[in-house]
Amino acid sequence: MTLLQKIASLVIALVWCISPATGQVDTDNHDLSVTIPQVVIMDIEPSNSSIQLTLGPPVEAGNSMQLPTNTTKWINYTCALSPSATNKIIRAQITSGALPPGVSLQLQAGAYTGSGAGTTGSTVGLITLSASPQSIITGIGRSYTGNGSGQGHQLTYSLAIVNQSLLNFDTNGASVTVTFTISD
Amino acid sequence: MKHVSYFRKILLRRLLIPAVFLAAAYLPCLSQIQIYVSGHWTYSVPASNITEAGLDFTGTYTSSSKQVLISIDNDVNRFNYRVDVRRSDISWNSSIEVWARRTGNGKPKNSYCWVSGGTSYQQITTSNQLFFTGYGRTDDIPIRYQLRKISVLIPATNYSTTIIYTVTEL
Repeated sequence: MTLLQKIASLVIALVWCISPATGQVDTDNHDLSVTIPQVVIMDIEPSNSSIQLTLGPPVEAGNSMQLPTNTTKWINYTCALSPSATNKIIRAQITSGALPPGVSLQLQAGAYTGSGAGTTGSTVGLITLSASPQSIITGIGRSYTGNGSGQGHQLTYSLAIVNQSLLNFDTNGASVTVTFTISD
Repeated sequence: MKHVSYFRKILLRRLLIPAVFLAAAYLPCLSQIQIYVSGHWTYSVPASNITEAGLDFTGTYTSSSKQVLISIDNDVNRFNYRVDVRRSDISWNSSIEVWARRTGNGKPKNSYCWVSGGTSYQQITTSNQLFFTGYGRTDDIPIRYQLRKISVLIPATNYSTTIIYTVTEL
């Protein structure tokens, strides 16, 4: 074997050694993206049907009227918020009708309970409803309360006598509409 | 003339023949395996997915059965390979899971080509994981994706990642 042939054989051997006949690798890719929308919704459970509050007569002479309460309604909400969004507030107000003279309508949202998760809101406590919106639940972040009665915040409505002398028992009562709004 | 003849003899016997052997030896280097991925997935979770206040998103969303097509090719017909998959996040939330599965065998170039594995959903993480294996050239292997654990608890915005497929000749 000549010197040239020896060199050629050596080169061939080297090429075989470094040849990536196996273990060759290649990659390719694609993008995958998903958009999560901002969603802020709220409702009253089990329904937004009307409730009735009736002042009861005193059980004993000298006592005041019996003040009714109603705890059948619940507030549910879902908040999907953008990174820059501020926490939400639920406000309540009387948007139509008028209360009988001498009476006020009070509302308290209970603390959150239910099967939801996230940053649920905090209750403000007892408020006296008026035509102006008032906060009842604040600090609602990314959260959901669960759906239906027993989920979210229980609402307690009650009547209060603000002026006994103005009470008029001959009236047939009065109807008001309470509206809830969830917003910044 | 004697000088030219001698040169030709040298060229043929001592340079050209080894060069042919060298080229033959180098052929395997040129048979590069290749993977081609066509398609992508851009998905917007519909706000209407929350049907009632108090509920979360349903959480799992599935692409079409042929959302992405993968083709494996090589200059030679007969070769074993494996395909690994991972993701490289651009802007992602770690709570969101990406899953993938192979929904078909694609279009084998020949009867002896096959694809195996990857037909059950598997989560795509940021580390390479075996997805499926195969033999020979195959086009348009269909892939379906699933996004899981999407919730209102995750900031509502756009998230993006890159799905990377790697083919390795075995």
